[in-house]
Amino acid sequence: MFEKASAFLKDFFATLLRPIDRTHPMVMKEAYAANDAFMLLLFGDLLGIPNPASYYTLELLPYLADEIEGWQQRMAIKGTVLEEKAAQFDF
Amino acid sequence: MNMAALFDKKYVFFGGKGGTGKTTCAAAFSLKASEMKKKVLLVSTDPAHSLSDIYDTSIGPKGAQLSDSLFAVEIDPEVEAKKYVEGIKRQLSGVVSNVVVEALQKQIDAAYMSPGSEEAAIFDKFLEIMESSEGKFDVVVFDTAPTGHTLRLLSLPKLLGLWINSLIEKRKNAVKLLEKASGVKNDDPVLRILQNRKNMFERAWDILSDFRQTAFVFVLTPERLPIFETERAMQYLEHSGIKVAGVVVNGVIPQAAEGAFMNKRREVQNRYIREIHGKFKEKVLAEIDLLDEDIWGMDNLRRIAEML
Repeated sequence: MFEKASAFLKDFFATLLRPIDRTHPMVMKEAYAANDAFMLLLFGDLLGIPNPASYYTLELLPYLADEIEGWQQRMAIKGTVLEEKAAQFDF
Repeated sequence: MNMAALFDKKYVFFGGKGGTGKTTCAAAFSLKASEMKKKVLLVSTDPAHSLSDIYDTSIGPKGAQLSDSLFAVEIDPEVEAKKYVEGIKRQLSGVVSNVVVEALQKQIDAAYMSPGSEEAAIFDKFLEIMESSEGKFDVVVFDTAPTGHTLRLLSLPKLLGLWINSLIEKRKNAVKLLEKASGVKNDDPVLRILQNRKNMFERAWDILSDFRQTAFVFVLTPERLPIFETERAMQYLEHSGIKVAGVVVNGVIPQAAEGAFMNKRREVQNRYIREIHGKFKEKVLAEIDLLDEDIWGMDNLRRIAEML
């Protein structure tokens, strides 16, 4: 009986203390931002930033090809980057 | 370090200013090593290949057997880069639609033409050769491109190692955040490939900087410009962590040569030879006489080999 009650209380408080749902999209956005920075190091030459090792970035293309287009668009439209950042701070 | 000890190394690099006799020395050294019953692979990393010319036989990127225990190959960066790019294009068409492949064509061609691609292609092949020679050859001799090219080639693993480290760090961070957000753990192929490259650069550096099995030799002529260039290149290599085994002085006017012109030239050379000994001291491994003919073919190479 006591065990059951304590388990319930544990659950109760765990639920109560669980971070509110808004953190999920925020982490997601942060993940995208981090990956965009990674893509910039790899494929900066697509945006006009010379890359010292573009030869070696080629072998990553088959795995990143799908990401490139979206990334390139995000990079091209500065407003989107700002909006994304702004959204994180809940203005 | 002396000349005899050079024959016990596993990887021997011949470098130096253009026209000082790198190919001649590498070819003669290889011939001599092969006649000491060692299995020798002679590799040219110079885009302007002259091994074929000096051995008077066609060698090329597929390689050729020159004697019982002497093999040679000329790395062709264009062939290697093509192979690499074609492999990627094949892989791409397997995972993404044709429209995307088409769009990426531009990216692929740009990378293929970009500065550094040729070196990267040579570098990859060069590591492949070193690693696949294990157990098959006793000595791998490299006839390298003129100094500048070779220094850049050798600094590649260190430079790109740094670059790849920051890539790995960034990707790891992104993957970690994504896992946190989605709750799903995935094995990231991108990280795996980056890690493979990093390992490759590290293995290459381990071989290049291992003084016990690898030796760098500079070939120079007793003239002002090659002396200065060699000195700078040596400083550069030693600074980056590669010890230089020594220098070979090529094109020394033999005592038997006579006449006022020859005597005058010899006087000038002697001054520079003294300077070379002063600068490089015990690192002077050998002095090679100027021959009365230009050097190609086994017989002339053997004459050079005797002086090594």
